[in-house]
Amino acid sequence: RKSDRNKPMDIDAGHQVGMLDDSAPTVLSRGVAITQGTLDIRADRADIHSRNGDISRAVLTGAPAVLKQQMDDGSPMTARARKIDYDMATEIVTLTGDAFVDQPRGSMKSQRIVYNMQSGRVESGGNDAGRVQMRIQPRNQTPQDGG
Amino acid sequence: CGFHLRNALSLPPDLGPVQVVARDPYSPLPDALALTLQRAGAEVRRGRRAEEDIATLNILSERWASTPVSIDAQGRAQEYALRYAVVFELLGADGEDIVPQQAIELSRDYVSSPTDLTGTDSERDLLSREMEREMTASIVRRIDGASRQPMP
Amino acid sequence: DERPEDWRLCPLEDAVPEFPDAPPPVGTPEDRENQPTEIGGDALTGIYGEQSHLQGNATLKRGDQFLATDNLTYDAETGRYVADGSVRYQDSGMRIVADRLTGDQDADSHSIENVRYQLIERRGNGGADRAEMTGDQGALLGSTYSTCPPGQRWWELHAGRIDVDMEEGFGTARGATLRVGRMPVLYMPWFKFPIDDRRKTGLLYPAIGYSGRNGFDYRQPIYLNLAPHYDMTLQPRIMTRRGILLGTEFRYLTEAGRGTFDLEYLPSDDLTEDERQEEIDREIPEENRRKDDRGMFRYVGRQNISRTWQARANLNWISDPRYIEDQSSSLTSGSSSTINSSAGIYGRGRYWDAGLEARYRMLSDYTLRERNLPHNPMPRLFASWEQPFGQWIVAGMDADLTRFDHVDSTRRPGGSRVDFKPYVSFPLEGAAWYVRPTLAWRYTGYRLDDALAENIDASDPDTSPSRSLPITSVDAGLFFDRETLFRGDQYLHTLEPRLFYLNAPYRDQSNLPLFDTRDLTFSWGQLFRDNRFSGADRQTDANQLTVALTTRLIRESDGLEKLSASVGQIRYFDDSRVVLSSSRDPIEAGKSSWVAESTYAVNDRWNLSAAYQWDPKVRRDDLVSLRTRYLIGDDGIANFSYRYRRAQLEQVDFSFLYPINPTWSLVGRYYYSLRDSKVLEGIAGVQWDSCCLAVRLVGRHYVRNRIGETNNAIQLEVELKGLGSAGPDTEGRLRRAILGYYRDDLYLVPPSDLGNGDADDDNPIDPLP
Repeated sequence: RKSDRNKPMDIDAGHQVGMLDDSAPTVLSRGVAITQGTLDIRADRADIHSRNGDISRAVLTGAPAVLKQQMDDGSPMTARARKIDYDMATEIVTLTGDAFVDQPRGSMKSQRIVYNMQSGRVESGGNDAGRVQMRIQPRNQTPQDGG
Repeated sequence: CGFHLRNALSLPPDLGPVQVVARDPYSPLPDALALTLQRAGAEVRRGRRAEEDIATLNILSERWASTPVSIDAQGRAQEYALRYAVVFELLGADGEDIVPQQAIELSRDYVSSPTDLTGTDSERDLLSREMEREMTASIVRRIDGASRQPMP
Repeated sequence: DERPEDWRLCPLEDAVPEFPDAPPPVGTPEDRENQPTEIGGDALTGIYGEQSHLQGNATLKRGDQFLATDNLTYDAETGRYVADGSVRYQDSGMRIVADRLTGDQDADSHSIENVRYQLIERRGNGGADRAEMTGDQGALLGSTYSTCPPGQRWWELHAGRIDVDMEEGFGTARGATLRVGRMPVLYMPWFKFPIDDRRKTGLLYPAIGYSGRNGFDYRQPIYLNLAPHYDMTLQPRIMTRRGILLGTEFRYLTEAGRGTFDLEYLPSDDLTEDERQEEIDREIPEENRRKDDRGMFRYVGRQNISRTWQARANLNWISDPRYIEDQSSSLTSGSSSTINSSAGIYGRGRYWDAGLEARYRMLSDYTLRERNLPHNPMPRLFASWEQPFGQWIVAGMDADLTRFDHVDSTRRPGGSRVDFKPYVSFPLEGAAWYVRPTLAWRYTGYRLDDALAENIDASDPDTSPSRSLPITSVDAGLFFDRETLFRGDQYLHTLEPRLFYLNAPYRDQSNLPLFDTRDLTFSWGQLFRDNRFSGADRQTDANQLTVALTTRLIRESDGLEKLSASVGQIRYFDDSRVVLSSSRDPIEAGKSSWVAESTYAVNDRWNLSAAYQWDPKVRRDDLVSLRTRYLIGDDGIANFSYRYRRAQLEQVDFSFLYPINPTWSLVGRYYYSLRDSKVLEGIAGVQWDSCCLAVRLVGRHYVRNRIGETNNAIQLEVELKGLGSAGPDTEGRLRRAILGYYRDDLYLVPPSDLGNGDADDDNPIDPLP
């Protein structure tokens, strides 16, 4: 959700190396939880890049790393993958390794999914990334939780 | 030469109480079979509703047909065969087959003079009553025959 | 009734083979829209939840639908999708291979170009320029339909448009030309055909034929599913030599009863005009001649009144006695001289059964007169009761109260009769023996119309004669058995001697009428009856003893009766003087004919049955009957029977269906009467069978009508399997002529019925002649 941007961000991690400055990425590990408004990230390890004091990119790895957020229309979105590369500036999320994106209207599964949270554009599969599977719920059914 | 008086009509040893049920509620067979089985020593249940877990003799289907057997030179039927077939099965209390589903067909010929049909109806009615009694006997005989040897 | 199609000669592979990657179609078109849609592909681009383009073996699955294609674009918002490049589509009704497919999942409508399709339920397959599918309805435009595999395209239906209705199970072709081989054979503007096995009753696609009597014969049944519990089939029929006949059949099924009305109406039958002169030349009586407007009516029905009472009716009416003969297409269907109607209510309890009924016979043989018909019981009240009292006493009574009327009441006046027979019997039984003495008293009284009393004895007419006498009989028997080995199997071999003594005093019955009585056919059953006559008008006097023996071989593994043989004879200690009429002579004291009967199941392919009667007084055979049936392979059969009845008939009947190989088989019948040295029916034919086309060429020589004229007919029938048969229904005729032509006909209850256990037992008793 757009309003998440100007919400406080709490970061909680088992171990932290780096001070969130622009010079080098801060590495959080041993169980990381980042929340900001409706954004909720859980991962084993997170490499946070920041630019002029703001977090510009987060690379999360986990088995799997999980990213939950509410879309502008209020519908929940859950994304899971072994590696989630969330570029906050362009709002593009690149999930690789058993990637899974789930929304009430449907879910998607592939080895590689590139999803622009802003425009909704999505690309997945292709060039040796294995097949992509999508499941779209029938219109009149109540949304099930993610697969 | 080895012949001896038959010992009792052997019904399956652990038959227990038995009921006779027919798909056609107006069929004459259940009452006749119940009487014959009772005479043979079985305990026959006669409830209005079929009971659940007791042995059941099922009369699945009965059919009559009268077909010409021989035609005279003017193309007229002069002999008929009255045929009567019954499909039945005997299920134990546990639902297993004691006598698997099978059919018995009886046939009796009778002459019918094409030019004077007086009396053909009454002969055919007489034959059908006799064949009903004979069908009851052959069903009980088939049950006796099938339950003589040890259960497979 | 209908014989299921035989697809055994078809290749296993369908015209459009199954898709290996497709899940078996599960579910019905109705519940598609509440199923999730699964989409897959090598690569995907698009807007999440809206437009998505899949490249590289894309698939789409929803409920029973499966779609595979090179590229698929799907718009989740509108539900529309486009698939192009080696499109493969399958649902519960159809399998399709095409170039391009566009559709709308929400509206469940799809349009497919350059299609090859295969109906899943039946063998129907073909191509179409374009197919429009909506839910379970489909329209194939510029299409072909056939049940033949691509390699053996024996016949094909080309149509501008074929509408396929999966729900009803019908295809309707418009502007259809039927091609057999390359040759267009028939053009049909409108043509309905079943596309699955849920055939409604009766033929539903046209029956086309040609015969000398009817000329070109085209029947087009139209099925009207009026309501869940009643439906109707209209059957207009054009016979170029005779006219237009409208057949209608109306069926109803209520929760307490069911019934079928059949009506045939043939206004101004040209046959009547053409053969009028011949009828005049042969002085056929006026009432037996063909009418101008002709027809037939039939109602068969039953209605449950209560747990013990049921009403049953079987009514038949024909416009003139020659109608059945003119419509009959087989030796036996026109063979009975009357058609019978009966209606009544019947009841049954534990120890009793009773009924109130009326029966009526109509003449269906124009060489007879109405006075040949018997009296009709209109009405008849009958009841019989038998109840055991304790172990050793059984009491019972048979009662019958009937009013007999005759169609030609002037020549054959009627009357009413009451007949009571109370009896008591003492069944003394052990495991291996029984003695059943029975004491009965029979009283029969009449109220005759004066004219009948006059006819019987003009000098001393008695309008209320009666007869009353005791009847005693003793039925006794023993059971011996032993275990024995016979050709390698364990058998129970029984020996059942039986005695039956009958004694009844003589009563002069010359003043009693003959309403429904004649001599019973002498047979095994006759040895143990207490009367030589079939009705109550005559009760035999007797002082006789029957000696009989039956032996059986019962296989212990399944209770099958491998062999049963019986022999018996009656010893008359006194003359039996009661006769049907003065022209008959009584039975002298002495021995009756020997009666022997036997059936032997050689193996499960071959059985024999024989009956033999030999009269020691004149030292001649009364009856010789031998029947044998041999099953050849899965479909073949050979029947042989010899029947001789002294001074009545001597006939030989040999019929066979011999399958040379799965494609070619020979059929034949030779039914010859030695007494008249005349062939009653001769059939020779050859059948070529294939996956989707069967051709039968049959030559028939059979007795056509009552003056014994025979008829030769060569018939060619082309059966387009799954579409219908063109040409006279030789198959139906063969099924009646050669017992076992269709294996299930051998049994009153076919084995195929045994399997599903819901053998249809409530078809009403045939209208017995």
